[in-house]
Amino acid sequence: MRFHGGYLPRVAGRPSSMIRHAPVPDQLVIRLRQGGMTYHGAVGNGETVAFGSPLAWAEGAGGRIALPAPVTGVVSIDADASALTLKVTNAETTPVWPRQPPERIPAEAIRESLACGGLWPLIWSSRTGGMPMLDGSEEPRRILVNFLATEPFRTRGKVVLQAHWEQVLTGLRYLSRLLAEYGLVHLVLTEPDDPVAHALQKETTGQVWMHLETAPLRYPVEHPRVLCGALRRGDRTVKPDETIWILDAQAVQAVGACLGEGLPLHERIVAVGGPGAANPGHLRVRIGTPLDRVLDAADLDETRQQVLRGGLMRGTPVQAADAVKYDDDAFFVLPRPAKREFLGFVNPGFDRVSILPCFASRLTGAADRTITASLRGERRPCIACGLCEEVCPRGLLPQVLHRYLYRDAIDEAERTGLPLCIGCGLCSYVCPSKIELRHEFAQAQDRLRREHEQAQAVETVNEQREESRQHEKEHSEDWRK
Amino acid sequence: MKWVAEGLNRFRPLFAPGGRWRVLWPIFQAADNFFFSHVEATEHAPYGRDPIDIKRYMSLVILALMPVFLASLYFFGPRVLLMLMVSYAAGGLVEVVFAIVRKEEINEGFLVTGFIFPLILPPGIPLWMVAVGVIFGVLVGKEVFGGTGRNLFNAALLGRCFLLLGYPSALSKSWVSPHAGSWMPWFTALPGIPSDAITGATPLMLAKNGTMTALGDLFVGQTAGCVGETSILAILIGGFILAIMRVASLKTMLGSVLSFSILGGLLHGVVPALVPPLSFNLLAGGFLFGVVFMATDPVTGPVTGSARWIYGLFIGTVTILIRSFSGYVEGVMFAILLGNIFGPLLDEIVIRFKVRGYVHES
Repeated sequence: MRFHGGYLPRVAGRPSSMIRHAPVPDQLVIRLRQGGMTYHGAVGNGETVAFGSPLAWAEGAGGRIALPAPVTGVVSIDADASALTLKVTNAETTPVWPRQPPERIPAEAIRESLACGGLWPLIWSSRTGGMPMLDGSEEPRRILVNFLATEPFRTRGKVVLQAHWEQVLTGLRYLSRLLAEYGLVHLVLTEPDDPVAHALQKETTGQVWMHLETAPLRYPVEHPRVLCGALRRGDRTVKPDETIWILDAQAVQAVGACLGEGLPLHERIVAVGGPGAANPGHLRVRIGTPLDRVLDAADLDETRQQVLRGGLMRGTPVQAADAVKYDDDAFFVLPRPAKREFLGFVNPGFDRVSILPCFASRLTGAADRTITASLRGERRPCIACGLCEEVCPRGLLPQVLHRYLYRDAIDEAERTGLPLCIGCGLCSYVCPSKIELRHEFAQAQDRLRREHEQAQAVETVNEQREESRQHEKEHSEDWRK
Repeated sequence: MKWVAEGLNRFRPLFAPGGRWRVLWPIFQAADNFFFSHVEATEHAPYGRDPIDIKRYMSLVILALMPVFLASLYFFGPRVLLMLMVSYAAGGLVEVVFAIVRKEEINEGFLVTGFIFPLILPPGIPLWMVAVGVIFGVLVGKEVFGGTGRNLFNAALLGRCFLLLGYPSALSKSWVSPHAGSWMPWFTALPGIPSDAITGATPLMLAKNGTMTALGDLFVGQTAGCVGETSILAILIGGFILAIMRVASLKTMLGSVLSFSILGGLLHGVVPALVPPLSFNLLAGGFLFGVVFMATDPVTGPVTGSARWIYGLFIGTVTILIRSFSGYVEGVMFAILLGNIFGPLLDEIVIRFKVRGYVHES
């Protein structure tokens, strides 16, 4: 695999590999908007749902996706019908489906179980750019399982592997049943001489459909589009129209638990980290656990900290009232800026890390302790330092795109690769002029999408008109005859 | 530190909206942000950012210029300091006036322009010319284009170009022989240059007449020439700082030196009468200073990484061509200004090539 650009900042507060168990609280909160889809409740107020039975359904990907109940409990629907509250009566997990061995289970049944188990949205398909189609029209030639998490700080694949070795391997066996003929499973790891990689290699010898791949530890190698691009660049046997599916370690583990043990998606391993985190580490939490049971009280202090759902680069702020979702795997605690630094620009910088080797931390190897939810500088015009071009994982020219968008030349920006931007946020992160490149590009992409939709709508209207005109013409000609 | 904060806070109401001096807010803001780092909460992801900012960036360039500045103080005396003060005062005035009129912030980029400008002038130039040159450079080279980040030409070089065309005799005759080690100039040379220190020619001019300066003198800086260009040793230290901190584009620097060396070596082999040996050509004149500190100005060069290689090669080539085959003994200034003009074109070429890759990708 070959990767462009990328950069991994060393930030303080890296979660330890230990997994702690968060107790199941008395009440779980399930939002009906999850992973960009809106679900519709399948249960009524006051009803009791059993563990694993569907709480809500959503139409999508040519089928129905369920949100399985993470516990047995009594449902109450919130006033604005945007969330369900589950009063926990029994937190035990019991198999919902009978186990079928991977050699005999039909692909149809696997898809069905994954959709009912709430797992289907965790799979990314290169054909749809989101979850794959459920109707069996997609048979991936390759499945990429990604054990890397470079964004500070997502749940690391190795942590999942160490805790759930068997489940991950079971998951791989089931997933391979969904492959097209002669399809391959690629396992993406950091380095080949790592003990975990060795163990995996030992486990997979003799299974020719499993390949081990290595990727550098630079954000954003875990991004599906970046992985896809890297696989295509590095492996010439991958045809351009081939369907590639991508899952992360935790999704594969959940597949193993779902099909191997009959347990639908009910818990997540989340990484809690960041310079503000009181207790950085991995936590096993039941889905729906309110954040105040996941994070320390000090982490949730709104005046001092900002908690991001996800990692440092793409995470968005969450409130304490929020709860763990079905696809959560990280919470980043970022302190708010406290005070202005005296003559900060001449500080040798033992406590800060930059992409440019111009701080003393470069000599000591220290992690960034002073990162806060602030720009750390003043907004300035672009000076074309070229850092964004250097880090862009898609090989784009963010500085040039910015220039185009600055003078509203959106067509030129489109031609110069704007639609390829994946919004990894690295360009905004490294920009010394503190330009909001990620935001700017996302807005421009939205605008392009809308324009294309409009153009398409106009086209169909024109076609229809043309058709009816033809029809009328024929009709009148018929008449004349 | 505390009293600075207190002082700033005491005057803040005067400059704040509604205060008596509210028009001068950019000046206050610049001072405020100079002493205490600016804090602004992020509104979009990524919510945390890299600590590098333009202030740090520009102060690293100033840091890299320090060896050159100290060397020029050593060789040409305190007059250099005076020139620097004039340059900062006159250029800063233009910058501040424009910031006030545009209601924008004062930009750090000027600190570098104002610092470099006296370093590319002959040490004996009248001080009022320093002021005129820097005002022209900042005004026409930068502000009319919209300020730092939007300028087409290197402001300092444009100011020097203006002086060279407007006052050719002052620019080509104000050379001073270096008086390193002599302490007298520190006390006497403040108002003007003693007439016995004025010398007729720089090493490049002498070379045209067949007199070669020793390479050792050129390397250390014991020659006549523009204030900052003489000491190659100091320039190399500055270039090293820029390179290891990755503040300046190594592509531009290497590209220029590469093409200059190859073409210079070849031309010396073909027409030794016109072109001095490469070692002399590299060390004499302002080529290295220009390449290290001026061609690497990120704003005025091409903005894409690959175009910076071509840009560097272009500058090296044009410099050696002007030096060898034109009436001017020095060519780096015109080469860089010409490069500034071609920068957008080079970008366009690189973008064309890149776009082909994108089409392939999608």
